[in-house]
Amino acid sequence: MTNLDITLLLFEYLIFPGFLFSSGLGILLLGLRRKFRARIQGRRGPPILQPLYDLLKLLVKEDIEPATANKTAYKLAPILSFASVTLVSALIPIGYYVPQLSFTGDIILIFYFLSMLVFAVIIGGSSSSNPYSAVSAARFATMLIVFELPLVFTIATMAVWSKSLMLINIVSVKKFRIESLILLPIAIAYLFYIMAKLHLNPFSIPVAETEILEGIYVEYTGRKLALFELSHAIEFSVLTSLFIDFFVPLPDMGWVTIIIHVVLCILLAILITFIEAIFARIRIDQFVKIFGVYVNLLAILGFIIVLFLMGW
Amino acid sequence: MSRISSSLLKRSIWVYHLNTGSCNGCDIEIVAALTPRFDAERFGVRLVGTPRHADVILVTGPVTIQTIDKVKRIYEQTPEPKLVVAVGTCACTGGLFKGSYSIKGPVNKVFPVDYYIMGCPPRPHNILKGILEAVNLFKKRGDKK
Repeated sequence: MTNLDITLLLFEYLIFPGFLFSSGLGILLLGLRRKFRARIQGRRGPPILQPLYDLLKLLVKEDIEPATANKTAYKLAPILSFASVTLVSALIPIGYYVPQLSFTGDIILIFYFLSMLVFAVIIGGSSSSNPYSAVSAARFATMLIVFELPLVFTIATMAVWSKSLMLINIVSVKKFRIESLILLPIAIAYLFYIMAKLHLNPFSIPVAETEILEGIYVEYTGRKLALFELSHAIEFSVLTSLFIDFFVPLPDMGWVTIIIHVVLCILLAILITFIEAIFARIRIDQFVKIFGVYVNLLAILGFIIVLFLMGW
Repeated sequence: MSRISSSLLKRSIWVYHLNTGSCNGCDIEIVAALTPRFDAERFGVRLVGTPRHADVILVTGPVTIQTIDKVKRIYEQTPEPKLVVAVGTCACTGGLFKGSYSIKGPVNKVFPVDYYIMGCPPRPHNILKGILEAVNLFKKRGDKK
């Protein structure tokens, strides 16, 4: 931590595990998601780069601020969301590449910044003075109470499993062992967490476009909406990358591992899309019941099993 | 710059559907044009729920006196560059209701219309074709802002 190489740091933040790589991967995942969902529904679907076209188009659109909005919070929310998710993306090991910023306890930092994202969205939604955004922000806040718990237990389990709070140690301790199967409940709980965090279909309650018109983003136009979309893309790549880092053992083969990592991220995104495409949206009270009880119990169960197996 | 932006706007078309007191026939056909059978998403067309996100406003119906304030407001809420496509005979000319005491007249009396799709109601193919032809007008209009 003492002697940081500034150029390498900038490279990490802006290019390789950071902004450029993760936004590229995220846009690719979002595009594949739309394509794959269209194929399931028997359509041809948009081109894979469609999310990129949408983003670039939003940059040339006019930027409107509603007259009654709280201007400071309204402007700050997309920047906060984008900044926190880009920082997280610079901390995540891809393959066996160790980010320079990684330190003991970085997974706790990652947890905080991933929660910050939701707060940014809630701030943006409630400051834009639109009733639909307000409803949506309230729904997101209700969801936040229940859906962060699986991530906490995943981090706790992985910390116990690898006896370390450093993400790169968690990555390198994984091996193909039969005992690794006991991580299955926590992996499933984490998968549910990804779907709730990205508000994908069974859990797309805060952005339900048929009831509350995309919710939080109702009043956002132009560049600010583009920032939100971009942070959503980066969030997608960060959360899938974290899944691979936590649960999938890979051999250390330099850049080949990085390619395998990307391929696995794509496969995971396809699995998530499949779940998304076959389910309809549930109500907020059903979400609290299903997620708050069953998924959280699964996460706690997974944690307890690992605790006992590690002889504690 | 305007060439780049017009080619971008052609690839990603977010459509807002605005009913100004129509009989619901054109609305059903618009929804039909967005179903998996016609698959508007393959051209980047997406139905959005809010005028703030819209690039193209699809207007149906003769503008009735009751709706006129809201219709004007929705037009103003849509960010530039935007296009207005009038769908159906009522929106284009007033159709059956032309000269009625309860309508303001066709849509182009309220705000400028860029493209007209005739028919009562127009077929889904025509609506989709109309949207895709209308977005070429982004280039001609240039930076109107």
